[in-house]
Amino acid sequence: MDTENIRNFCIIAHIDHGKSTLADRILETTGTVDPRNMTAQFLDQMDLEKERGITIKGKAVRMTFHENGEVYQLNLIDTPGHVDFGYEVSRALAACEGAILVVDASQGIQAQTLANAYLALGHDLMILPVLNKIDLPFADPERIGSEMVQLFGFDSDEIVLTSAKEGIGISDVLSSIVKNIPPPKGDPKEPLKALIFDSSYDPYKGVIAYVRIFQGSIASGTRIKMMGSNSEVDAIEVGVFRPNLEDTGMLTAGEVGYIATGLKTVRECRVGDTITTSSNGSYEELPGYNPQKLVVFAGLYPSEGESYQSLREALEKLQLNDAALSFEPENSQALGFGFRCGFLGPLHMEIVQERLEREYNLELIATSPSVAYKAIAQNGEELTIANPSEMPHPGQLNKILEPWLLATIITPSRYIGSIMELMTNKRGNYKRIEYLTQVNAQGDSSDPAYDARVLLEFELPLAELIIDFYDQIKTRSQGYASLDYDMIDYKEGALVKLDVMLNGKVVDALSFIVHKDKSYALGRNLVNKLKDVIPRQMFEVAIQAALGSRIIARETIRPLRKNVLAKCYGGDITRKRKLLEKQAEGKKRLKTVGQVEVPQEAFLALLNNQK
Amino acid sequence: MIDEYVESLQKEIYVWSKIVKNPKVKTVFFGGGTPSYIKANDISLLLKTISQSFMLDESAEITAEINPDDVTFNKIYELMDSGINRVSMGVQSLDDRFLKLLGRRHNSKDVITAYEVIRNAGLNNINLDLIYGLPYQKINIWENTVNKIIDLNPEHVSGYCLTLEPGTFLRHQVEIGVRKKPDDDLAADMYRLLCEKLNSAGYLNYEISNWAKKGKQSLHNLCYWKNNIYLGFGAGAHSHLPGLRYENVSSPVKYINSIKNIEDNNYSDADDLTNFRDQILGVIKDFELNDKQMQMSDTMILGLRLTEGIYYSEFRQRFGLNLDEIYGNEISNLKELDLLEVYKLNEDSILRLTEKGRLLGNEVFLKFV
Repeated sequence: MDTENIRNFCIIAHIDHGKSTLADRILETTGTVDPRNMTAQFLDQMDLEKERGITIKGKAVRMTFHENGEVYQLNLIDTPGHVDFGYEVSRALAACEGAILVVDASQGIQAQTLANAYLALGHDLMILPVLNKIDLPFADPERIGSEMVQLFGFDSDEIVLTSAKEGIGISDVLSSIVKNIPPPKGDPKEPLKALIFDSSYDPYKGVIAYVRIFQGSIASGTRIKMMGSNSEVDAIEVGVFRPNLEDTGMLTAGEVGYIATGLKTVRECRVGDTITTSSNGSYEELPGYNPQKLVVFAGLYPSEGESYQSLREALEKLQLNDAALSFEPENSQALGFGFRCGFLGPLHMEIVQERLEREYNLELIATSPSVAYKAIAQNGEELTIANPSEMPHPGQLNKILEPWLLATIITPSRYIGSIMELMTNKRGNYKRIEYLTQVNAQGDSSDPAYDARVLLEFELPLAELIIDFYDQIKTRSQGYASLDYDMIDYKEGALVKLDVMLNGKVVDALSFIVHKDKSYALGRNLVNKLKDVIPRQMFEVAIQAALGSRIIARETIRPLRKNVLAKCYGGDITRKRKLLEKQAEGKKRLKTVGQVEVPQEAFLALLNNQK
Repeated sequence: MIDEYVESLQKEIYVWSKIVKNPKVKTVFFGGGTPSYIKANDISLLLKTISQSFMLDESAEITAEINPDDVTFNKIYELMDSGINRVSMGVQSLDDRFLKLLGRRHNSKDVITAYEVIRNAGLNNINLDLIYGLPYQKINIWENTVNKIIDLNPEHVSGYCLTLEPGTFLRHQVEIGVRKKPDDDLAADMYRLLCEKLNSAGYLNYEISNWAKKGKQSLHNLCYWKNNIYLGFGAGAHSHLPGLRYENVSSPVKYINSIKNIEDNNYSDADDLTNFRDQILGVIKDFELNDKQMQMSDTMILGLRLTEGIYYSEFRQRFGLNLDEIYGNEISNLKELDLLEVYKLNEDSILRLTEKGRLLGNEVFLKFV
């Protein structure tokens, strides 16, 4: 097909603004999916995606659309919207010429809308504004429309009004795509350049690279090279998503499709990499290839020691479709054998954990998440610290850097004070405030929707965001505020490693890297909690919180004085023996730190508390 | 029904005496359930059956459990007449509020009266059972009870810490939070107080919860703690034979009926045993075969309750193994924790709980199950 009739686009929206429903309607209207096979949120096949209304795994689909006697090839690339998957989103955007920006006509622009729209603008995409859910009784297309005009500079008559649920305005959206999104450029005769914007794993075809061909063409059987990872394989199959894999034998410039590589791991087939042919290939990669940066780390442990092997297998399987996930075996005195896992962000971590539990039926204990710190040693050496236990001794440290981010919050104005207060508690630096809309004079002043809507920007350490932040924003704004963030830089921080010791022995699962100002409160809190959950032992137990060699909090558990069966006569023996056997069995499950026997539930209670 | 029940007991005693080949009997204990249900006359009948079926030692210790509110001169005389030479009375406390809490029908005055009746009747081997560690019980209240008990000067005292057994009302109340959980440290203090007071009054603390004047240890209970064999008769009774523990059905009606099912026969021939095994199994609710490992384990758990401890030589004689061969690791770990000690007596070594270990017995026993 002539590239003139190809349109590559994605849909960007805040959660629940109707991205998936709009995609469903587009699939139906173009006849891509037979209505009999249609299920809601067709592209979000994972249970977790359907339940949470989010896209975790990117997808693509090719559609055929007829307009004014022309036949168009429309390629919809579905991307995860969340900032944790920002890199994947950016690669997906790089594969498109246009983006449909969907905004809920009653809720208005949210933080994630803004972040994704800016990202799309940054990729020079043509943005088609859509106001969705106009059928809802509280829809206010006029007011929200003016928000869009003010923020992005659209013309108000550019905005397409839709109700994806009711099927209103869908053909307008399709017409607008054809009319406004430019066709792809790129010469099919030049050497091959294909951008990998996602990948998945198929047990028969190996790793499947999702690609956008920027120039040249590829036929199945061609020897190809991944330029970034420098690995070569044969393209065992080439085709398009309709939405199932359809072998077309060929892809040419401007098209979106897949290349089956036969690879057994996703490692050699990284998102963002450029594929070219082995012979007569391109010498120049497409811009923007970055290995993904892992920013959040946590230990994952099976709650039953025997499931270690199952956890390993589950992680390996998950990794086949989630190239960003990394894991390494780790051994904790307190929790046994497990893995230190690296994630793209807190949502990524949450999703991986939930998928492991649901799809692989595992019961997991997660240590408190930690960000990747950089420790600069006295000798200038730079270390990345993914686990508090790797932290060098304070004496050998020059400084510690921690990742910071720019957080954008959009909220009705009445919650500004409470959010500001949270930001102060979380070491945030206020950057700016912008009024997106004025007070809604027709509204009811008791309704937060009456308020002016305000955009707040803060700089904030990532470490503060990953523990109890999102919930706090939601609580403090009664659910009205939305949050988005973007990594900015590493900054030096007054950070210390807090250890918890039982009778002088450090409990590895309970070490934290924490800001100095918060170390005393955290240390006190941990020590107090531990005192409640550790049973009395046959000797005195000292629970201490320490910064280096300095003790900052201490509690003592007095020794157990009495534990004996008062009576044991002829009729008691069998029963009492069974009781003792049960207790002895229970003792075996205790974790021993130093000489102190600690029930696993104790760690659980503490770790949950830190989330 | 009592008559039927007593007849069943007589038959059960007779049947088992044949099975175990009429060995020598050194102690008899009438107890469990509500002792006042059984009349002195019945006890007399049963003791007759025992002495006809077994070789009842002339100096056998024969104990009857009794409640303070059941004691009369007549009753005690009759009991002594029928052969009872030791009485064990459930006193529990000498504070009426706590007696009420425990659901006892007697009050402290009943106890004093009953004790004097028994003493005046001429019985010279009396045990009094006490309970401490009760909810709301303060140490001075307990001290008061202990002082009064020492004034009475019984030959034997058992002092038990309250345990909130599953299914009891007290435990339920603690679980739902209407009663405070008894304080373990306070209970430990009460135990210490009991030890001190009784020791200075001349009692020997010969088992974790038992004290006796010299020569007045309960021979019957020593049999349990030394993991020796015994036969229990009646509904819910427990027995221990070499390698076997079993428990009778708990319902008296079921008990009577299943005893009736045993054929009147000449049981003297061991081969017959297989013939009426099924009939005997009808009386048994539950049984457990104890292999050597379990027998050794029971010997440890029970024997360590005794102050005299476990003799290495006796263990070797019984099991053909050295104690350290089997439990060397456990023993040395527990010694390190100051819960066990080994002392030498003549050529023999003896393993026993330390003073600290006595209150932490379970921590020790756990290592031997």
